[in-house]
Amino acid sequence: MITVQGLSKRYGATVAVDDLSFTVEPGRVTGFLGPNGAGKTTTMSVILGLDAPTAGRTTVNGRDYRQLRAPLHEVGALLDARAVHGGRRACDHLSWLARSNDIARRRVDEVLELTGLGDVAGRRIGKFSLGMSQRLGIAAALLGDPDVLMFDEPVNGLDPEGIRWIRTLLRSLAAEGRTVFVSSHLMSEMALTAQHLVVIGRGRLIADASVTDLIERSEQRAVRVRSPQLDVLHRLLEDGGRAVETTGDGALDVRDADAADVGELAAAHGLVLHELVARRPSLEEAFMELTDASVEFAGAPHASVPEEGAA
Amino acid sequence: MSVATEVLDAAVQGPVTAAGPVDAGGARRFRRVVASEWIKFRSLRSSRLALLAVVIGVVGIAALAAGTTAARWSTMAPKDRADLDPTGLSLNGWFLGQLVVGVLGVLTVTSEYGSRMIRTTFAAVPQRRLVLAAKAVVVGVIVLVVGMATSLIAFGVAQAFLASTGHAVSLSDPGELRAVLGAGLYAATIAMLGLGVGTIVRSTAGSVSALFGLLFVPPILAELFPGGWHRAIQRYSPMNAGSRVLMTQSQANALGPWAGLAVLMAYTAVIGIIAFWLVARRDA
Repeated sequence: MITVQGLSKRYGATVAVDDLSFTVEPGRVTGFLGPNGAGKTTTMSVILGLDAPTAGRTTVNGRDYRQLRAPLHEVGALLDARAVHGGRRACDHLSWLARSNDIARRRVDEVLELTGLGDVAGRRIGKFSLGMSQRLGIAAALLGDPDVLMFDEPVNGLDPEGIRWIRTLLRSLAAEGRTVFVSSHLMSEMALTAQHLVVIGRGRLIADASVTDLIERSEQRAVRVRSPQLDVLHRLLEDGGRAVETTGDGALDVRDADAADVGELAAAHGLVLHELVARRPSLEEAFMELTDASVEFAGAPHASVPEEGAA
Repeated sequence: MSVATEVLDAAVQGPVTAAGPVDAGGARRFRRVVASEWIKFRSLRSSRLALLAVVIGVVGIAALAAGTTAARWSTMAPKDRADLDPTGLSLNGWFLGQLVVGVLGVLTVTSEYGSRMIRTTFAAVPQRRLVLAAKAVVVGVIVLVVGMATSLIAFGVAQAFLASTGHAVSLSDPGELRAVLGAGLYAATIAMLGLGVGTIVRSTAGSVSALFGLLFVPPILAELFPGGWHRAIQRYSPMNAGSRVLMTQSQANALGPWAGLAVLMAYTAVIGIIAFWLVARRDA
């Protein structure tokens, strides 16, 4: 379990994290979502004792990380897969890590096999692709067989097969009862991997909810309706105080409404309906809605979140 | 190198799980961090190449200097013959060798800051002072052992060349053994100084500049000052003071060998204390 209580972190005049509180529970994958620059990496750095908080505190399994004597047995983390010495062989990189925490040498070979790096154990890390570096970082995180795992943007640079592999890995780690905390700026990826989401923007908490709740709660919950008497229906809905939009192909989107509300309204006035669909927003849309006001580096009034790759 | 290698290898291969790793006592935790740093050190080709460069450089310069002197001996003026410094000829290579071991000390920590691997290191061992101390032990012991061995070889080679002049000295002559082993101590201290500067400055380029500045600027600066100041700066500047330990000839306005080394160690200690203070305070 990871707890973050009233965490603030300033770098000079820049506020990276602003009074952030949340808990990451064991047994499920918790996604840590936010646009680039929202404070995800800073928060993880504080949790790992790398950066000192300006205010507030974080704990792992109830204790301050800096008090842990052999932290790799409790917490495994992947922060930056490229933060390694390129001249070192993969097995040597894991060996020094293992030795620093009294982890048996054979565990190095185990995690190399587990992450599919068994064949390149003797190669220098500098020659690795980004995807292989990510796998090495994940191998390092798994080294001490820890109960708590933190991954900062683990799917960056992975090919589709690698992304599927890590998705399965994260879920199975959580299913074993471990705490799994994964950051991403890709809502679509988190929708497939996480059960719970902590969403931040500009260092502030925006949402802390299950994936399904987050979609439910989204303002973009809407009903799409088609009718030969569209104009009549449009007027009736607006008179009823609904926000209505005409779609390009001759239908109406009714915001914040249930299909039942719209269906009953139509029946009450004897209107024919050709289509009545509750439109679930995609998680991506829910995320955009949530973070729209908080994008740090907005280029245009309606900032968009990069689709992929931007790290 | 083999002695250090064996000592450090023994640490690496030591028992892994007697008590649990989590409740291990302070001494055992330090030992495993030293072992971890030793794996880091020996798993880089660049560390081995740097040490090789030291051995070849120092021994090579000794051979060259002594060989040339021996070849020119019959035509040398009596005054030049009288000025012959057989120890100096053996160990002069350290004026270059110190740069390599200094940079090696710097790189021990700045290569980690440069790649940001330091974050992985500090996440694995949050007791950062333990990490810095372990790095000091590893680079200190390695450079000490390699430095002493290199000096012994350089001394032997140079004296062999000088034998024909009849002015060769032996380790049993006064001060010779101290100078030869002192060269190792001097090199190890410079490596630790580099480690301290690297920890404070964090960038490789900045640290190397700062270290070289510390070694070479004071003697140049001294020239700008009048009499008393000039002599004091000359006498107490880190390199001038520290290198007295590998000299056997007396010099005007210079400290004794051990006093000089102590002065260099004091500078290193001050830098080290600042480094220890900063490393735990700063964000990684």
